[in-house]
Amino acid sequence: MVIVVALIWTLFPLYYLFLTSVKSIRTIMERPPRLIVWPSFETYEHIIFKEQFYQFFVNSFIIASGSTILALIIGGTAAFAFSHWKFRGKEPLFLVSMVGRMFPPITTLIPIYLMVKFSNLVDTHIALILIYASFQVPLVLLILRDFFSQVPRELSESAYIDGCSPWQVFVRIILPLAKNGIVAAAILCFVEAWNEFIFALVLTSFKAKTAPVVLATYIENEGALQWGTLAALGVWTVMPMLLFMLFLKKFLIRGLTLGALKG
Amino acid sequence: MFLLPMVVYLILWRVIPLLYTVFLSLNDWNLVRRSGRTFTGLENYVRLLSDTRFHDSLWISFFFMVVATGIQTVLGTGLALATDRSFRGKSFVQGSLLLPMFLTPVAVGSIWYILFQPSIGPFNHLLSLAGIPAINWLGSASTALWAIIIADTWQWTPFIYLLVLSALQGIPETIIEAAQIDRASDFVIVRRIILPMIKGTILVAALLRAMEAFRVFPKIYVMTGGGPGRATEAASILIYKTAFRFFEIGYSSAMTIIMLVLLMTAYGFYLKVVRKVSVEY
Repeated sequence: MVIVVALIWTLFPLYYLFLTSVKSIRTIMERPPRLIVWPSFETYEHIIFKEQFYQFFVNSFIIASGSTILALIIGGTAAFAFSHWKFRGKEPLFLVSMVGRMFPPITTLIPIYLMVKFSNLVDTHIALILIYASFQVPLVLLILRDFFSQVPRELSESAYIDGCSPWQVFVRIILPLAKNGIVAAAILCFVEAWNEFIFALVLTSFKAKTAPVVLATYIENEGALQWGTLAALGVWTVMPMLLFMLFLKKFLIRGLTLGALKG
Repeated sequence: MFLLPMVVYLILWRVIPLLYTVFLSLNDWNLVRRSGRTFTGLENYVRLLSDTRFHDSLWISFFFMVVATGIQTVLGTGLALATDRSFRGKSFVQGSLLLPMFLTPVAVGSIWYILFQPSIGPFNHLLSLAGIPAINWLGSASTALWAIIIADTWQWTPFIYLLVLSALQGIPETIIEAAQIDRASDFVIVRRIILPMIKGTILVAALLRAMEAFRVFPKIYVMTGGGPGRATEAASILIYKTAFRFFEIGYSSAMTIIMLVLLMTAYGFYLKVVRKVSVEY
């Protein structure tokens, strides 16, 4: 019983969003609101082709993947050092890197806005890629350190004895054995970058505008005029997350539990 | 070198900007005025002391944080207890219940923006069936913040749910079975055995959630923009408006620093709790 109520509470809002996006203008306004309609995908056609909103989803995709790759490289190499090397000040350095995750992004919004503005990078993909990667590096470090240290020390040590360089050990032994961890970290980074709002809002105006910014400014400007379009934009924005949840649930949940509890 | 890229990167994008925020908070700088930046020391902070708009916004953030986190913790824990047993479709149910926490906050804001609309949302229709007159949820000062709390609860109850569920799965079944053999009722088992074992995790989850809730931004921005009037103008919204609508860079930085100090205090408390909890296990 509790479970049924919880399921309805969770799924009904999503269903209503979808419903609104496939209703015709006339049925949207009907009272009482209809809960089943024959779907019409006109709004989708409209926003994708006529209004060229697909451009903004491509932007989101480029920025989220770019920052994910960058964060994986930077955080991954550091995670290797933290999990397989001994050096002085290891624990303090790790803690300091983590604190970076705890002071909220908004505290650096103004300086970063000024930095980006004076280097003429406003409204570019690269600016958001660089910024998002800096939020995600600690997360990657946290998750991958855990996965890397599960790779037996004997394996990497015997590779060193066979004459491998640290790079070769990292690329040929550690990375292939920690595949699951890398996928988990990558998905989580992608989700965070896709969902980020405030930096994208401040730093983009048209060329590099991301999906959440388009959605939010659409509400601000057109608000109560085009419910169908608004809902269709919402559906588009959450689509990648729905697909992740459908096909990669295991990785998503594992990474998130790890990131939250160890952070 | 494997560490150098990370160290350089974090210093460049996290540490220097943070220090620069501290510096900016000591300056008077309005981007629109031509006069540029002048160093004014602690003047911004003195101004904040008597700025009731800022105080109100901190109160709204605080109220939001406490109420939203409280509701979410109770609901999330309850749900975890209710679904931590085997039943048909368990994996589907758990997956669905977790779904909202992965969705774009802006999109979640728009979902609830639609749901709360008097003209096209379903709520007022339900109310009218019960004979209650229509409520303009987002348009009236007494309900707007609650509407946002409901939207936030929809999205983030799953977070508590996930962490509590993973803690429940760590409880050895033998303990529960032993209690059942002793004829302990379900209520007693939950109250006397399960809750004490997971209370550390619940606390950690609630604190993590609280720190996030305190800086809520996208949902408010989308659903009300801080209005009506200033009824939902949380600190993060005010900071954003001060910097990017009124272009008061210095003053906004000072607000940011105050917020940061509050959050860091909470974080210090959190670390203490985490340490204590991990000792207990």
